[in-house]
Amino acid sequence: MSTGNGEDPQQALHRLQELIRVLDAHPDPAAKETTRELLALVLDLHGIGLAKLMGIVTAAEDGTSILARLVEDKQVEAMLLLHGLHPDDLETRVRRAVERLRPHLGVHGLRLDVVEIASGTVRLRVHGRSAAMIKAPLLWMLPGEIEDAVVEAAPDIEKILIDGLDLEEAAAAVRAAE
Amino acid sequence: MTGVERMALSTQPGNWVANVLRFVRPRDVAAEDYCNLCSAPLAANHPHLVEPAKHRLLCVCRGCATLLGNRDDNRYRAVPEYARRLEDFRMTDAEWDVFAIPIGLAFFVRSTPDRRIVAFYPGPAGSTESLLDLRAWAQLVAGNPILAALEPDIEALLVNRVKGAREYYLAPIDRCYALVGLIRTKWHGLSGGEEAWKAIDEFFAGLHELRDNAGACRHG
Repeated sequence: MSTGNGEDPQQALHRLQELIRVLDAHPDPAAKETTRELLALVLDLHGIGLAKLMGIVTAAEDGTSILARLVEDKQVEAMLLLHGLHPDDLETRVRRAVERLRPHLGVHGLRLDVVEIASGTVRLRVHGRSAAMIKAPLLWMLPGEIEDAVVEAAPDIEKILIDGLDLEEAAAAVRAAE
Repeated sequence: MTGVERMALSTQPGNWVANVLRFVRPRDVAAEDYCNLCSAPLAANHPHLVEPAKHRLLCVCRGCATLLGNRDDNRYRAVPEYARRLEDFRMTDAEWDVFAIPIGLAFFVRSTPDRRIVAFYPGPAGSTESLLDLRAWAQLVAGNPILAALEPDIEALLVNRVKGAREYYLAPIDRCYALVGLIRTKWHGLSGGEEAWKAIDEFFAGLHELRDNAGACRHG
């Protein structure tokens, strides 16, 4: 690719969102609309072709093993996620990410559960020791760690809510304990 | 705390897929426009799957439609995109009258779970199932062999005989439900009213064309 610099996927995705923010705030509505339509059209062209490609792969004799190899590649996986063609649905991917977080949280006496996944919103809950018992740095880091892990597996979610980690309540409890 | 705020601060790409889609399809992502199977945001002209065993029509994303729509187990069946006008269809007024359908609009579906042909006509309260004279249907198929190829559950023979029209279509089932939804929301009084008839005319005019944004989603 010439100027796109899609070599580093992380960097490309950051740039992608930056450009979208710029366009979203563009003062010229016609230019914004044209760009939006252009992007939608290019995405559709790729999406339709990819959907057919995935249909062919799925129907193949060793389709399941090919799919597994495809999603192992981060760039292929990102592309499938963008077009809603990932073989695992959103809920499966979220639950798997939560599963992977469990040992790490367990060390601190905490348990993470999926409360609800609906309409693009994921609601999780942290159970276990009261927030006041958790050391402050961990408490401050925890929401970010959970979110990063879940959103990396499911960048197509609209919103993530984590219950049971009220930072203000925890801070008040810490003050009271002192 | 909500993740969206935090995600803006994160060094990770965050929910980039949602962000791209929100920009690309802003009007499409409304509260209920999510894939019924995987919760992905849906475009207005999203495809539909029929789940015959449950008599359900599902709004789905293109991915789910492709991956699940044409499997051998037939749990879900992909609804065709286009309607086809049957120019050579033959049906006399007497043949129509045998079906005893009170309005000049109806659609006939071959139902796999029910193992029979089912006829529906739209009305202000939704669609009503009509008890079908099976001999009359057999006679219709004899005169119009194309009906033997009617795809079960996902395609219907759509009949329009209102106001002197004699139009027959092989129509995707979601378009038939769209017509039902249209009549339910626009119909007033005994005669329907001008607005309802205008909407019905527009529906049939649009049926010739590509699946458009308006027709595909209003099946409620």
